[in-house]
Amino acid sequence: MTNGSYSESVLLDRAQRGDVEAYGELVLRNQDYIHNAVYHMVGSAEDAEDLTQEVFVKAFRAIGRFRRKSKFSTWLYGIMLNSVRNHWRRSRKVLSLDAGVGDDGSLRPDPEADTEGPGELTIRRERVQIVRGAIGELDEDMREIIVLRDLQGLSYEELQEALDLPAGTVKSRLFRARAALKERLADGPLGFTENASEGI
Amino acid sequence: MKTKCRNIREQLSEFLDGVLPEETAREVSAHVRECSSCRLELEGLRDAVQALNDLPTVPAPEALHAAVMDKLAGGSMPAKSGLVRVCLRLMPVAALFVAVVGVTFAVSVNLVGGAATGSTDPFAALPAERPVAGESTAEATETVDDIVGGVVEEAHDAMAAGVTETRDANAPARQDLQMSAMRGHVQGGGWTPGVAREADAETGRELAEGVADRVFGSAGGVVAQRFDQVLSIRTDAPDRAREELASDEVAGRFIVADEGAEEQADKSGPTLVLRIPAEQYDNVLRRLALGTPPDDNHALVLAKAEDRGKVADRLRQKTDWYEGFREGIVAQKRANRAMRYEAPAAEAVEAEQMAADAEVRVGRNAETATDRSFDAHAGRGVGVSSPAAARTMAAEDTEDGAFVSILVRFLPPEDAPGKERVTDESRPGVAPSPTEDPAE
Repeated sequence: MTNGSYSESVLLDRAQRGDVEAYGELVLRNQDYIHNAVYHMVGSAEDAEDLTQEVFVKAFRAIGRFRRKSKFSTWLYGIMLNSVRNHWRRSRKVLSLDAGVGDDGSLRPDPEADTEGPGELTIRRERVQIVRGAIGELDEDMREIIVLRDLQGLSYEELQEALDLPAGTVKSRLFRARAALKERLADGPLGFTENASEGI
Repeated sequence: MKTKCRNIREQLSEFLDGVLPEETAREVSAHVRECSSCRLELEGLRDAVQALNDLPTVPAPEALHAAVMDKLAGGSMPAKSGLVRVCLRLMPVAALFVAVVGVTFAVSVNLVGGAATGSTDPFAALPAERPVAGESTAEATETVDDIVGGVVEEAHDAMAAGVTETRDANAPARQDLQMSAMRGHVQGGGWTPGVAREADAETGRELAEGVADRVFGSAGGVVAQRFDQVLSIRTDAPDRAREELASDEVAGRFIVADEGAEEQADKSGPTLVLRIPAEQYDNVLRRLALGTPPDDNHALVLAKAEDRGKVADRLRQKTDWYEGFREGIVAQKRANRAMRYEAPAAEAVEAEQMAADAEVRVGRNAETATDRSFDAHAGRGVGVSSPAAARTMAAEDTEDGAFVSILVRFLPPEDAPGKERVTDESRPGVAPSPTEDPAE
């Protein structure tokens, strides 16, 4: 029986006993969504890779303390948020560090999206870049919650756990984040929500 | 906007997610049917959320899993990995201190005690193999040794490069020289000739060990609960060295606190805790460096081991490089370490190139230096730390952000009678962590 066929619970049991291979399977199963979240929070592919590695190395060190009161993914998100926040803290203090974020804090287009393609594909890529850029313009606390909720699909309860916030704060912050994103998208070149901004 | 509309809009986000109580949801639904403004607001939010939902997932790069597993299994088990990362992350700060404190003690102790050997080579008596303090794993030891080794050797090279011949010429009075050194006065073109000619191998010897970091845990994290950095200084005159360093308290340059020193003194000799206001960190560095950089254009350079000789030659030969790197140039195996322990395999080539480029790219301006510093921070290659970057890196890990606490240990020289290799058990400030991971 290969590791790939074990349940998460079994793999966790083994990983908590120091089984690196079992933990490796857990990394495989979780690395994509963690990387996706980190990437959309920090806006740089290079930093996202570094930070995602850091998350899984840290998680392995701490896995003995994982009590399974929450989902493993939620626990990983907590570690991820620590790493991302540390990254932001360093970036604020050491300027001009992040090649993926512009001077105004917005995300620059990722290199893969620079390739010219058929018209429709180009428009879709532009739209993706605009949305990612708008995320990058949000305050960090808004970026966290909007990525976790609307990209990663965490429930309100999971948001409370991962962000360590009370329910009311989760709701109000998510509302503020979405409203802020809506405004930025309305002001963007595609203006695909411009109608919605009228009358406010 | 009407109060009713304001209340409704604050619930639109939850309405979209379907998490409102049934009755409230019906109210919102009824309102947006009636109110075009709120309906547009709801549509805008829905579009925004949809746009987020539509974003393509950016999966982890193919090399990521292997890189993680390499870190976990490739001789870098959790505890070690943390320590290595700590060392690499803050190594520019530690290296800077090693370089500058070494210079300081080489001269300051001698200024008090006089030359013991009369050697013109400030580090002539250094053994080829340097002892390593405070690490229990071979891997971490090797890393620290390399870091320290590079620092010491380059300090040696640079100081020995054409300045010792002035040893007896126009030597200022001892007190004058001490004062000029403490003010960061530089005589001539770059390295501090006044310092070099007074330096003596018997009285100045230092090793740095890893820098603590509460973020990453491990043994270093335990230290960090009390100290931001740990610096070991080897000298056969520990009391005098301690006195010299403490003398800056009188000058008001930084704050010296002794708390915690006594309990460690019986194991490792005198210790000293420097508690430095973060905003004065630059000044302290300058005090220790003697050759005061006038601004952030002056940087500490960390280059690949194989480039050491070339870099040192430039230091000696080119005035502008002297100016650019007055604070000191340190070459060691950092890039190799970065690739081995930190950099993903895919970045190895990039790290290599950065290392090769380092000589011409760093130190010319603060921005470049800071960029390189971050590269070191991320473990991607060659690092350069400007004083400002060093300060921010140290300050950001300070508990209250206002002070940098450094534990300075004074250890006997390696060849002193009765000297034993420092182990974790005797390592000051390091105690078994109650929260250590089982895997560690």
